[in-house]
Amino acid sequence: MSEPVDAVFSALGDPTRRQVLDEIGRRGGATATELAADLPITRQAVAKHLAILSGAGLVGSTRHGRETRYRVTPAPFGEAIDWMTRVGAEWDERLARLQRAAARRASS
Amino acid sequence: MQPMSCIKEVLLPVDSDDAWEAVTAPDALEEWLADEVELDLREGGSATFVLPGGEERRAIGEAVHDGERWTFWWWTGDAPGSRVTVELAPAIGGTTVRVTEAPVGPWASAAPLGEPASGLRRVLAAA
Repeated sequence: MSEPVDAVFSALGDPTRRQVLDEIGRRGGATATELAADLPITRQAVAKHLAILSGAGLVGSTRHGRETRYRVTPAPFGEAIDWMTRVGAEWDERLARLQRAAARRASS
Repeated sequence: MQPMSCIKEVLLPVDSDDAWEAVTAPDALEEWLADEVELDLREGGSATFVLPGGEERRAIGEAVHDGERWTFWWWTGDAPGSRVTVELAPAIGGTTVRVTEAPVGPWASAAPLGEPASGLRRVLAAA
């Protein structure tokens, strides 16, 4: 498992941050000012969320003059989804074995 | 605020005492969790699991609430690991076992894991 997976999970664990990410995706890219105008949070809060999303690799940014535009970068989603899929499958197998073992004990 | 995690649940057709044994006794764990289990079941206790396929995982216990819940952290080699909680609850027809696994890493102290991260620091300080 690569290091960024837990950062992605942490980043996506906050509902407001998910809203920020959704809004960037919906707009196809946005500045912090545009996001603060559309969402019920301050520009300062937007900047904090953008820093965390950027740190987790979920958004990338490019400067245009004095503005920085953010866009969604989907690669870390894939890693996080891969982790969830793999770990989910592992536990499905383990818990199925546990259930069979318990049923054997219950019937013996 | 909760970080995302994988949560799975199963109903066992046994009472809670038998279910607790099934999820904590090394010989019972060897029937479903790992091929080989060495386990010191207590806060700060260490464990080794040899998974099917040969992968060896080391673990350390964060908390044990007898009969109800057990939390440990496990990892392979130098890789960042995961925090796993196994919880039991009475149900119609037996006992449900819910397992929650969440990845951890350098972000654990910055992320709002709250009690779990501080629990691990307490455990590591005592070890």
